[in-house]
Amino acid sequence: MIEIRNLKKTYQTDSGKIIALNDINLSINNGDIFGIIGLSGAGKSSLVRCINMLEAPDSGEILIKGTDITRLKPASLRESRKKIGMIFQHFNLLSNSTVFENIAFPLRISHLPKNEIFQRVNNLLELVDLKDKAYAYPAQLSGGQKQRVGIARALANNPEIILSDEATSALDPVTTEYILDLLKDINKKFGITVIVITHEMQVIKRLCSRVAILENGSVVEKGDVLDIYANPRTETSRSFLKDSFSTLAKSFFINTENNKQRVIRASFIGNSSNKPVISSMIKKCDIEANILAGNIENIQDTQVGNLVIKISGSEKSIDEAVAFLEANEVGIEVLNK
Amino acid sequence: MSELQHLLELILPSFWESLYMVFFSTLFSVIIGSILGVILVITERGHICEKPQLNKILGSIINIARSIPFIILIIAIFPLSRLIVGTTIGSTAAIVPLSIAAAPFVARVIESSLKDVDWGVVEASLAAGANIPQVIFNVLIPEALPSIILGITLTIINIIGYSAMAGAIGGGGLGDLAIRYGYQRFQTDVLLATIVVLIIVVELIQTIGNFLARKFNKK
Repeated sequence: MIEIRNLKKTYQTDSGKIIALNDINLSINNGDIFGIIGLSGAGKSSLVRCINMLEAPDSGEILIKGTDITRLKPASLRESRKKIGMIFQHFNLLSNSTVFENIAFPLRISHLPKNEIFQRVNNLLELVDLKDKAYAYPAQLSGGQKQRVGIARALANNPEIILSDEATSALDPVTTEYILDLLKDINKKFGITVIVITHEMQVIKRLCSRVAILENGSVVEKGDVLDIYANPRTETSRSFLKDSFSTLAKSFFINTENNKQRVIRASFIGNSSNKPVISSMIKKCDIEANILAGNIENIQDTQVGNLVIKISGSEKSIDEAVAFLEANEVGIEVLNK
Repeated sequence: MSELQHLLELILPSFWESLYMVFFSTLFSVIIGSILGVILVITERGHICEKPQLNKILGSIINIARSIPFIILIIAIFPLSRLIVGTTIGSTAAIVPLSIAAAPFVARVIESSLKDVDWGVVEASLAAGANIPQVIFNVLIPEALPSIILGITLTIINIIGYSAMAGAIGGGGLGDLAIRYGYQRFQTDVLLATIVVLIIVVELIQTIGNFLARKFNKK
C-alpha cells in the first residue's frame, strides 16, 4: 500500500552536506504495523516526515495507494494528510485548548458540522478512555493521558495510516505498555496501517510484524520481526537485538579457551522449539554441551526461546554441531569468535 | 473642595482626549502591527509560508520606522495626517503618527510572541491537513494569546507615553495640559494631578493586562 522508492534527502548545514536519507526503498502492506528502528540521527524521523511531506525529499517517490504524495499540489496534499494521522514524542497538543478541542481540531479544519464533531469527539474520548477529562487542559494531564489525546486526535479523520514518531519515548514503562496496547488495538479494530518510529527494540518486539533497521540514512535490514530476531544479518541489527540477555551471555567469554570451546546463543522459534535438538546434537556430534543461560521471550505472540550454550570438543566437531543446529532451524549467534 | 473641582474640570476634558487618542492609536497599531508581525513570522525560513526576501525587506522597513524618534516622526508625517484627517492639530490628527509609530513596535511584539509557539504544535496541525490561515488563526494566535495580551498592554502604556509627546505639538490630552499649565504657567498642582491620573491609568491597564494574560494561559 505504501511504496517508498529511491528516497533521498540531504540537509545543508554550515559544516557541509548531511545525508539524512540515502536511497530508501520500502514497501509497507495494508493493515501492517511496520517498525522503523534506528539510533538518533539515523534518519528515521526524516523518513516518517517524508511520508506526510512535513519534510520534502530531494528525490524519489512515496506512493500511497498508487498516488505519489511527493508530487501533490498543496491543496491535494492537505486532503491526503487528513487520511494520515500522526502522533508525536512530545504530544504537540494545543496547550490553550481543552482535550475536547484538541481532538476536534482536525475535524474543524475539515469543516465538519458541529453536531457531527461533538459525536465523533465523544466516541474518540471513549475509545481512549478520557471521557472524564474532556474539558481539562493538557497541562492538567499525565504524559500517558496526553498521548491518548494525541492518538484520539490522530484518529479523528478516520485515517488509513498512522505515523507514530517515538510516541512512547517520553513515557514510563507502564504507560508505554498501555499506549502500545492501544495502538495494537486500533490497528486490529480499524485495520489502520501503523508506522512506528522508535529507538527501542522492546517497542518493535511488542508491536510490529515487520521492521526496517536504519543506519546513517540507509536501510541495512528489513523483513519480518521474527526472522530478523532469529537471524540478524548486520551488526546494527545485532546491537539492537542485544538485550540484557545477550549482555549476560557475553560475560561467559572469560571462561572459554580458543578453539576447543565455543559459546553460542541459540534462538528457538516455532518448529525448532518442539524438537529435542540439543540432545540430538550431543548424540550426533562428538562434543560436550553446557547450557549456561536461558530465557523465553514473547515476540508478536510467538514464544522465542534463547539458550546460551558452551560447546566443547575439537574444532571440526564444534563446526558440525553448529551446522546441525542451523539445519534444524535454530538461530545461531556465535558469541566468542 | 472648589479647588479640587476646578482641577477636575481642567483635567477631565484632557483625560477624555488622551483616552480617545490612546484607544484609536492602539486599535489601528494593533491591526497594522499584527498583520506585519504575522507576515514576519510565517515568511521566515522554514516556516509555513517561506519568503526570505519579503521577510528581509519587511524587517528592514520596521527597523527604520522604529529608529525614527517619535517627536520627529510626528512632524515628518504632518502631510500624511493632513491627507487622512484634514488637519495636523488636535487629538484626531495625533492618532495618525501615534498609530504609525506604534505599529512596528506591535509587529515586533507579535513576532516574538508567535515565535515562542512550540513548532511541534504547528507541525501537528500541518500533519492534520491545516492550511496557512488555519495555522495562523487556530494555532499560532490562540497558543500565543497570553503573551500577545501582555505585549498589547505594553503597547498601550507606550502609546500613553507617546501621546504626551504628541500633546506637546498640538495633540491635546493630558500631556498637553501638563505642559501648558505645569511647565508654562508654573501650576505645579495641575502637573502633579496629571501625573497622578497617568499613574493610576497605567497601573490599571497593567493589572487588567496581567489578569487577562493569566486567564487565557492554560499552560
